[in-house]
Amino acid sequence: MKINNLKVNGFGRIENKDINLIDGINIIYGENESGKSTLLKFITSMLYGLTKNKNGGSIPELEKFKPWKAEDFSGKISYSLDNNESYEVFRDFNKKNPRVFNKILEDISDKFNIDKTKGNQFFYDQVGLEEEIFESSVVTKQAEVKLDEKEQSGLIQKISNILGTGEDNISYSSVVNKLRKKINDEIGTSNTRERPINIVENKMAKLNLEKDELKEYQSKKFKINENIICLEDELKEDQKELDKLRTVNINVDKLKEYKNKIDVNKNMLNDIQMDLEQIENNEKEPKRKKSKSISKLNIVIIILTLILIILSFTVIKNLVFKIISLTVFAINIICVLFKVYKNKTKENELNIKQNELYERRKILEKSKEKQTIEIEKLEKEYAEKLENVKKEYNISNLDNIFENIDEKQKEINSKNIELHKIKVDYDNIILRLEKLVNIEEELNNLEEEKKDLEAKRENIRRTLDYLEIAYNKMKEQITPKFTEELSESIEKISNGKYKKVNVNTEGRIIVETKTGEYIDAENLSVGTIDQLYLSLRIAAIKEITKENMPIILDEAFAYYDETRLENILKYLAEEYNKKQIIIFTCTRREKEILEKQNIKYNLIEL
Amino acid sequence: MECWFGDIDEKIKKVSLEFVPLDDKEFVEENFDISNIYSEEELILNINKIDIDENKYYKIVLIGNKHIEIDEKRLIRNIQNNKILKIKDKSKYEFDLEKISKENSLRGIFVKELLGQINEENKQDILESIYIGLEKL
Repeated sequence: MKINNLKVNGFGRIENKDINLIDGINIIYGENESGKSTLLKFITSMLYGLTKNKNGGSIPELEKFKPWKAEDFSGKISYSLDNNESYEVFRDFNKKNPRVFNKILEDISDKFNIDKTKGNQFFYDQVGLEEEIFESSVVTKQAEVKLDEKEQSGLIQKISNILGTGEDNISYSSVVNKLRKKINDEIGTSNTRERPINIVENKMAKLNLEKDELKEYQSKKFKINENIICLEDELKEDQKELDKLRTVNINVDKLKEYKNKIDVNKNMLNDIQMDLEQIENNEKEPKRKKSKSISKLNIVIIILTLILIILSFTVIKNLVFKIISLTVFAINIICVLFKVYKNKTKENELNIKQNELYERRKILEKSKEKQTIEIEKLEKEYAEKLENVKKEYNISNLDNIFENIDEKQKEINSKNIELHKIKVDYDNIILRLEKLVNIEEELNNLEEEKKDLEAKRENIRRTLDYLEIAYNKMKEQITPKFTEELSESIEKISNGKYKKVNVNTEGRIIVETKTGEYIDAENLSVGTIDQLYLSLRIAAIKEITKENMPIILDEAFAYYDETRLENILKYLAEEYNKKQIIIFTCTRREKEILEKQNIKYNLIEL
Repeated sequence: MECWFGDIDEKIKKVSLEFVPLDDKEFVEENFDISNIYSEEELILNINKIDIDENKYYKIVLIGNKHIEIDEKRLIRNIQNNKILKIKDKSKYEFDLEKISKENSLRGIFVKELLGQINEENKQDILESIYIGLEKL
């Protein structure tokens, strides 16, 4: 392929430029900021179009290359392919698709594939090169490093890259290392710590432990629930029993009337009994008093006074003595008579009283009899009623009813306390089980996260495996072609000093001297390496497309010294005289060297 | 909140479920084109700017051409809107695998070899492996 003409109507800073290019060397000279890079972008944009996307930049290319002054944002490129077919492509950059014309100026635009985003793919269909491959292989840009020694190593690395991957900026080992780093950094392995998968696994292990502990509560929950139901049933039964006892108690209480009546009657009976006893005592009292109505003292006094009277009339015969004795005697008789009278009166009273007592005793005895009958009746009724209560509530003994109620109440209270305690335990368990649900949910999420990470790791490992397979195939199928090309080039460049180029297992380039000695490419001169690199790039393009593509060098020799520049230009002119070479430069050195060497070239000044 | 109620028919061993909304909040799926996004920070900023109805919960489906690697979990962790519950990446890398597989280069052989392994079951994983490789190549 060769580019014949570029017509820029308006593209960035360039407007109304008509540039003819020839076979062989074309020098596009311009000071800095004169539009060289814009022109290079114009070439690729004519062939591939401009994107509306920012592609990582601050503004989209379509905006960036809008004409500064011209109104017309368009241009035309004329080129020929190796099969001598010529094409003219007119592109209005405001439109998605260009118009493609053949040699006889027929519009053949619709004969090519149309990509949804990129539009007409005419150039890819013709040469099989994608835009990015075109830019990275056909175009060689200015070396990034200035120091010769480093540049040499860089170039050797690029040669090694092309040999290994077919592209100078991609190193197999570096890609492999990046992918391994990606596994380590973004996922992690069993040998790493604190990486995403390690963090997930650690969290899962911790949660699983917690889950196992909490799972015990699941069985506990059922047991406790059973206990609660059991206790609640027991309490219901106990409450029923208590209610029954209370009803019995109320009924027994109702029977108290009988008991009270019985007690009242018994008290009355007691009173009657006491009254009777009292009457009996009273009846005995007058008899005792009656026997003592004339006392022994009275009799003794009477006898003694009688003796004194007898003595006064017989022995003593004293008047005074007679008077005294008679007086004492008379007083004593009076006293005795008074006493007798008094006793008689008392006896009468007593008799009356005795009669009263007798009457009362009779009444009381009757009452006693009546009361006894009443009590017996009440006791019988009471016993019958009690027996009915016992039968009705099926209770054998009513003696300890209060104690039984008390006991039952205590039992219920203690069971209620126990139930409350169990319910508190149950609530705690429910809380823990709720936590278990959360843990299980979190575990599911972590499991999913782990699966995702593992799948991602598996995908990267598959990438690594297939990269290795591809690398081995590359070494078997393509690298030999490159090394053959390199071997031919180096033999020419060194006038037979070096014969063969090989890549060892570590990816290092080894050169065989004519004496059969192997030396590391690092030992070759910078000029030789330059030429090897250029020849290899061109060889690599051959592997990508069958079309003999131009060589476009964009300030590629900016840091070359005079000798090195002279060497590379001579090499280009001699080796690639059948190729179109387009050199973008901001110095006049290339022009001077080419003129000095009498090499034909086409100069375009911007 | 969503819930499914239904019957289990033991005879024909069939479960029939019916969606019953228990909450007035709706769970909606919203597509988000990431073709013009070139960094994760930019993506997070743009997702944060999505118009959100406070009465809805969202699943954001990323569509279009992707220029960055998408980590759904990391995105969910970093976006500030708690109404966005899930992010699903359905965007595709802007690679023409057919074209690349014809290249006589490491990436050409790599893509060709992996495309040869694709079947219905592993398609997504194989494509993911290809994109991981192409991103580094």
